[in-house]
Amino acid sequence: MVVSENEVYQIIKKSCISENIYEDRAEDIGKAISFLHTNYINGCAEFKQLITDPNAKKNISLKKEKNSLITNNLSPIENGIPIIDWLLSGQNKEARIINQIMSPLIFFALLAKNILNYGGKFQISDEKQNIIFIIDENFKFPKINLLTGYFIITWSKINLTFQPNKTNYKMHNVDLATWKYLQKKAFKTYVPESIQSRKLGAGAGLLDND
Amino acid sequence: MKGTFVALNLNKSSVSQCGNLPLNLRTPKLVMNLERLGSLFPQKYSFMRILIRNLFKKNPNFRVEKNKLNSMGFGHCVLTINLGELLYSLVCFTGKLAAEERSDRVIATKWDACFCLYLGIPNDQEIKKLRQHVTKQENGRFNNNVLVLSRANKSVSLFEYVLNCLANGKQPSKKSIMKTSYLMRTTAVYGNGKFGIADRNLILGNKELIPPFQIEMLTVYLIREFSFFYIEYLAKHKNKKNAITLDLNLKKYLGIGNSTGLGMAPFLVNHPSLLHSWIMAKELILAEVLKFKTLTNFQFQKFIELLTRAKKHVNEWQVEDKSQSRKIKKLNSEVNLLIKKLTTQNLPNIYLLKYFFDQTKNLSIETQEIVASILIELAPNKFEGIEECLANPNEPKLVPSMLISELIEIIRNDYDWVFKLDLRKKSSDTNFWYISQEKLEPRLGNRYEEKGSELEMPFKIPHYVKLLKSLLEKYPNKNDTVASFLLKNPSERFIIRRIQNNARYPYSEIRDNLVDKNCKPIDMLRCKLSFFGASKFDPKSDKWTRVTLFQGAPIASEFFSNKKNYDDWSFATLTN
Repeated sequence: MVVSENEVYQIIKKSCISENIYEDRAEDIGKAISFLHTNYINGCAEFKQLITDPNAKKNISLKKEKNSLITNNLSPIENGIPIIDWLLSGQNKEARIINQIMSPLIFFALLAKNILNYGGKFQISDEKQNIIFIIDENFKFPKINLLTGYFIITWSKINLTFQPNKTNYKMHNVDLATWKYLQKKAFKTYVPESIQSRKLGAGAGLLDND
Repeated sequence: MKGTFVALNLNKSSVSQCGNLPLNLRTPKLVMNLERLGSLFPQKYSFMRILIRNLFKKNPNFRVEKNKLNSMGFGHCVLTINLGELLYSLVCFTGKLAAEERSDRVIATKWDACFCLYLGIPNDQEIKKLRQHVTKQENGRFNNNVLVLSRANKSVSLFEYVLNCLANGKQPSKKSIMKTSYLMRTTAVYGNGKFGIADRNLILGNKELIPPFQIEMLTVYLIREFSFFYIEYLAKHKNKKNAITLDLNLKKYLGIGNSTGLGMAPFLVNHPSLLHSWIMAKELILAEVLKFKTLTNFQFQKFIELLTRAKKHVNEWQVEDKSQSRKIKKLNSEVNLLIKKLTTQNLPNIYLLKYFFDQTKNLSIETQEIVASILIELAPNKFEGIEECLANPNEPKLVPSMLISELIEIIRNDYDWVFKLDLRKKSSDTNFWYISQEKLEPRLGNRYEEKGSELEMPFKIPHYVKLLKSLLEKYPNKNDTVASFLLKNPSERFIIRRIQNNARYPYSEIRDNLVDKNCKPIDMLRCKLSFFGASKFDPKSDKWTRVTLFQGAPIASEFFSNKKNYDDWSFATLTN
């Protein structure tokens, strides 16, 4: 099924809200998923997989130690955004993930979208400080489903040299089953109209005598 | 200058750095309240005006490409126009509509005419496919060759009357035209990716479409052209011998009607940076015009002419709503008073426009704003580049490195208005905004009488600010960063991001409580519609209004006539 970028953004945002994810995070995740589609990845399917994983929605604790944030698991819909905010809040900050980065593609998309807004680059290293991924303006999404092990994430600021919010435009492909699943989720954020609300909408209460 | 404005993006600090921020700029405190936003008038940089200017710059080559309407006027037709380098088609489908099916409401399911704006010219096979979907509107599914989706109904009181007049070889009366001022009214115009149509990003390759809502405005403009074509076509088929075409002046006076409800209001809250750019541009231009030390004779005469025209326009503005009627009456008498002052008093030789604008300070807000719109008409050409700046792509982003102490300071300075509201009263959060299940459109409910407030949209801005401030004040280390604060208070990220954005874009926040029992959403509608360029606001309740779009605008046949004053169509009147 071919859908527009705005449709992807809206349906993911609303699906997030139906999962009790905060509005601002829902917006960021919506943009990240849309960004995945722009990069030929079925972000909607990734998202569906993530929200159906009960571990991804568990309250995952974040421990702060001086300049480090430490967590066992990183879930893009749970603690991914606070971790990114933390990294962006100054130099020499790092995040240590002990066990696993869930849905790494969604997390990478969140990182990449932030690079478009803030500039600089994110680095993901292993326990021995070997760099595994660099997420910068030229980042190419890898084919990856699982990222287990010990990771250190850092952000280094370099001047923004490119136009922010500028991405190549493409229509997005989503499989019908995923789309219907997300539509159901999004529908939960809508309110049934009452008799009173109908009386107040545009055109209400009038004969067409204009 | 053009490039400078594009680079500026009208952000407070960058304008200041370039030394371009006029000292006499009206402050957000003065401008950003609902009472004033609900009193705005269209002006030179409203989106319809920008569209018409861009259409005139190159030959738009408007034509009726295909006409497959039958003698009853049912079938389809295709109108095409060039904007910049690209060709666009309005594909129009018309059908029979029974009286009981006719409704102004967005929830209607059948219309006199359904439209889509199509990139290029669709072939017959594509038109056949489009018919299946365009006539279903929200229930159709589209691809990215479709740029805008819309529908319209005939004006019951005017359409048949004008049709009969034309068929019988007579022009309709000015009085009837003045009363309704459109032959058809749209009940929805959808763009930006809805139902699978093209996203805004896709159309931006055409630089004429960079200013906001240009593709939607182009669609409405073509629907207006369709309404003229359609009625003349029907008149001819009704009476081949005697039918005449509609008088050019009457045609120009006719716009397209539109009923606008709550669906439009949340846009201003959800796009704060964009709102800032619209208001900032307007205020920047106004401030520059008020700095004119002397006026040429041409400028002075133009100013008087516009004031006089505005007076006539206001005279022709008839509404049933009592509150708006009172405002119009006051506006009318105050504009008269101003004209008298201007023509009879001794006027200063320098800074006349500032002197004149100062005279409005004790007058109604509608009068202040109509004069502001008139003054903006005198804007120098250097502001041409500002049109692209009206589209602000910078969405709010968190500044996680900001210190708590800095954030508290911003709240104290920029959100002081919040602490003047009594938010303990039940009436301060009576309303809640939500998306309706039925039409997926924004609606307003009463929290204490209706279900669903747990799904409300996050519009309780003053309440959020108040809560945040108390949390920040309790936070032990004021030298900690926002990112640290958010680790313990994740729910506050939404409002912090908004507040930080307002520090960068000071005209981005409506300084009122949008969930208060006494909040009038119609003020938000008028604000947005004035930037569209709509006129003749005709409130039907606190929550929806009728307006006329493109009233007074040149008609497409005039594009061929090289008119010099093609941009001079503000405050349309029929009494010249």
